[in-house]
Amino acid sequence: MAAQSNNVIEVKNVVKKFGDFTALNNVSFTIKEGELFGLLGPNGAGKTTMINLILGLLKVTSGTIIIDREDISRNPERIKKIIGMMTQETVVEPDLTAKQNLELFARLYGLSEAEMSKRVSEALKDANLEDKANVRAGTFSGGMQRRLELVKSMVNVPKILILDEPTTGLDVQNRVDMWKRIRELSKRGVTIIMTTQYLEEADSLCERVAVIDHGEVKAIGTPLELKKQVATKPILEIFAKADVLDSIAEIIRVKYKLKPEILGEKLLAEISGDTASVVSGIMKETSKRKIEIYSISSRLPTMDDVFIKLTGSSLRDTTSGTYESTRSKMMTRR
Amino acid sequence: MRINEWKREDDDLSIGRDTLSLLRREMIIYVAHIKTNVIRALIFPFILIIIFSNLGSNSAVGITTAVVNYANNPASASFLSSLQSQNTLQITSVTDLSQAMSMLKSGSADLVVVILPTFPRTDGSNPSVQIYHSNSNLAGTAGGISIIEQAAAKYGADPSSATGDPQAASHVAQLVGSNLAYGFQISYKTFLIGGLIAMVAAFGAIFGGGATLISDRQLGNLKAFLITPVSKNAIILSKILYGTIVSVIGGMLALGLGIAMGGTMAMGIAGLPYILVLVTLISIGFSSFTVVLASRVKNIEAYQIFAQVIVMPLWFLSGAFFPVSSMPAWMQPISVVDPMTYATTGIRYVMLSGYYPLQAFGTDILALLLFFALGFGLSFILFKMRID
Ligand SMILES: Nc1ncnc2c1ncn2[C@@H]1O[C@H](COP(=O)(O)OP(=O)(O)OP(=O)(O)O)[C@@H](O)[C@H]1O
Ligand SMILES: [Mg+2]
Repeated sequence: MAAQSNNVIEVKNVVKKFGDFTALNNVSFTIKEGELFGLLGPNGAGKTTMINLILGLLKVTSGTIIIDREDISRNPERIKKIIGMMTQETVVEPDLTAKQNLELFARLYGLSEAEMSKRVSEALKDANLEDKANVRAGTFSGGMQRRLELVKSMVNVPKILILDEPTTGLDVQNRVDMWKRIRELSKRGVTIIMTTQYLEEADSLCERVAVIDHGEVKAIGTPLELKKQVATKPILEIFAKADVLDSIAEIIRVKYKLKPEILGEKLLAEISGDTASVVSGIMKETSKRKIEIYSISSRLPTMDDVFIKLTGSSLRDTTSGTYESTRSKMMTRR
Repeated sequence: MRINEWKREDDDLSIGRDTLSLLRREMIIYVAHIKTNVIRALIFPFILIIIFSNLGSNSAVGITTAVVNYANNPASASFLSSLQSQNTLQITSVTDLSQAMSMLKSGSADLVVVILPTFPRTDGSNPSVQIYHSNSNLAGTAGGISIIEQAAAKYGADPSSATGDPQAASHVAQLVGSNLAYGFQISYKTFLIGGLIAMVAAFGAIFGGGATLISDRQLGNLKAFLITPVSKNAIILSKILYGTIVSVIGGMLALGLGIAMGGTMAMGIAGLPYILVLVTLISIGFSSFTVVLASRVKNIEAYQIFAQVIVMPLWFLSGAFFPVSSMPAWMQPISVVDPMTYATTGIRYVMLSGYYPLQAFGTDILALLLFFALGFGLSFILFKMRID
């Protein structure tokens, strides 16, 4: 083999347009073998589009994507065999049993009958669904369906696993379980690329993260690097009514020489000097002036701070709470 | 080298294998929803048979009828004039049977009525009025025959009819009097059922082939398949085959329902293979077209509208409800290029006349094969793979 690099995925200057709309603009990143890589971005950032390009389901407008040292357009069949994928929509077949779901995909990957039955029973075990093997998947809870999806995406024992928002729509318990499973797969040496809208997910799970917004990569690095990029110092966070935040900001600017930023009902500023005295000083000052604040605290920088710095808006604010399923339910399903 | 190391030993067979895997999935889903699927196939035929099956006697218009009167008694003269008074029948009196039969053969007569000397008595099991009709206007004769039957009933005669197909004429002539072998009571109900079987098959293709492709696309299943190394052709093929299976099952269910509701199968159980072949061919054709259509429209609503706008007229123009001969002249050529015409006609040979002349069979099969080849071939060319 020629140039030895342990990059499994190389995305170079990728542009993807849908008509006049640019969904991805000059995106580049590389993923090393065995890495757990995150694409972090809000709704409509272009995460799924990026994934679809890697899978060869869409064609780039310009730029190149190299997987396992080969341009994906050269030999899409080979690429497909080494990639496993869990799509954003849960697509277990409700009318098929857990086992039938797995067998269908094992067959489509061309496994022999013997191999198939081995992998399927392993997969059922991995998903803790052995006792539900012959139960229709439509009766499963959301968490069980996702678990089935995850092992289904591994049925071809892929070198690269792509997870498109694996925890969106899951409750906390199932989310934590899913994280554990993803970590285990990563430990086994599988290269994983996952997308997420959740900062804490990218923070706690991913080894490296690309922050993507409006189709552009805003930053790439380990969660720690990204946080350092924002601030090495603690961050002051004040919640208050929007109309009083300006006067608080003025105090902070003048008295403590900090550079506050206001976002709705929140004020953020990097603290220089002694944190405790800054916080207590501000509390005294505001109570003296009868300025009402909801809360004041200091903390270390989070991914949210990274995001605010990079995009000028809070990811948490735009995506927290409701996840609306984009799946259109059909009236005339057989 | 790299390419080869991934080539599976069974790569040449993989399209077949993948198709079967996908088809297996479709069938599991079909069985899981078996009630809905059966009801969907049967509900419209059921309603249509109930509402329309007794319309027969009024549906005949301007049927040319050659009458040979061998009886020459007052009763036969009065019978003849009662036939002449029917608006729907155009009566021509002919002196002998062979002349009448050649009129039937050439198409200048739709029906031949022979009044035997025994009229109005029934001589043992032999009827004294024989009706011959041409299969070329099988549909149009349905009403005519029932009018003649009603008229003859007043005289106590027991008419029977026999197949008078051009090729079969001589054959049938031998059977005059033994009305059971080729003789049959043509009924609008059976006529209608023939058309309904073709309809159920066509609509089965709409639901089975194209509609499931759209739902798979919308629910993300199609994307999940395309992530695997499965070939695009296997996906197309499995959808076409599934549509075909749904259609054929539907068609056979409709046949069973029709028989249960009083339709007849003139050819008996031997006719089943013919119907199966006709229905299968029409189903593959329609299924192919619906799969292409589904691959090219965005949502299920648009698909339903397009599919129905195409299938409905084809269905009506095929003579499913009314004989082609009763349609306006400008419409009739359309029925010639309408594949459903051939399926409907073929099914009627089997169910109504009990005799499927080789030439007619050849024409029907050839037309349907053409439709199948066109639809099947084009589906692989025109199919547009999309995931959104
Ligand atoms: N086929 C398409 N045609 C036109 N626009 C598209 C198409 N696919 C995606 N887009 C647009 O591209 C943008 C990125 O979409 P994408 O699905 O990649 O976002 P995402 O980051 O995955 O968001 P989400 O978190 O909602 O899944 C969106 O504005 C979307 O509307
Ligand atoms: Mg997405």
